[in-house]
Amino acid sequence: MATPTTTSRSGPPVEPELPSIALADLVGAHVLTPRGRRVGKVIDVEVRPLERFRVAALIVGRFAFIGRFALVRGTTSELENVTRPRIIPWSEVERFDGSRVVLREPRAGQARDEGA
Amino acid sequence: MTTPGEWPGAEKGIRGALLVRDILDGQLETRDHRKVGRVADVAAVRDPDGTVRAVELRIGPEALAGRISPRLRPLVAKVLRGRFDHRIPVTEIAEVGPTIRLRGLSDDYAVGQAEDWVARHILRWIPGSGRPASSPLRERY
Repeated sequence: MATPTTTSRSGPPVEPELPSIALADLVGAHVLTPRGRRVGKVIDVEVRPLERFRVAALIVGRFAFIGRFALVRGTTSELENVTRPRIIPWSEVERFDGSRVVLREPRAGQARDEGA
Repeated sequence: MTTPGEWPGAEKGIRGALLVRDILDGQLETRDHRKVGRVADVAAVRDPDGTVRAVELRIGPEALAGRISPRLRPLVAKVLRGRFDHRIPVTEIAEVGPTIRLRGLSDDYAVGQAEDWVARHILRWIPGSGRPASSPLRERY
């Protein structure tokens, strides 16, 4: 198979020896607790350019797409809480298998709100 | 490797965090204002210490097929054999806005060849294109 063109002004391929993760696959992936309970779906991924483009956090929502339609904006109902996205630091991610993100077991005294 | 502080976006006052959805499907534009494609995907690697870093912007039908379904990715790769797959290091990003501006000139990136081919082989024959048929494409823009 032909090697994909790697375009880099500096010339060499960008770390081709490391297996890569497609961040587009991460967006939309289900987020699960270690016990398999659904936390929501990844709606966006935060990257820190000043920290070597580190993936810093996942933005996760259960029904976050509803919030994008601005239908519940301004309401003080529980619906707004449900649609509000949550930020989960990447340090809490145990693994990503291509379609599912599994979170780490919360440490003692650090309860995770699983019912969001 | 670009180190913190070297990234040109920092000089432009870009906020400390980027969202991947701001980058995906973004129009890439070079320093000489040429549009060279849209971001189909962003590739990241996992460092030995567990940190995941975005490393490349991917452009082309193979990465795009993976957006429809990851299962399509190997199939399309087998058919197209990487001929239309292009990668640009994320360190080339100068600015993220309505368009994603790159640090280099269009000649620095081997993308946009399809447009070049159409201009060189088809548009040059259309009367009124403003240039003799033998003129190089680059002069036209």
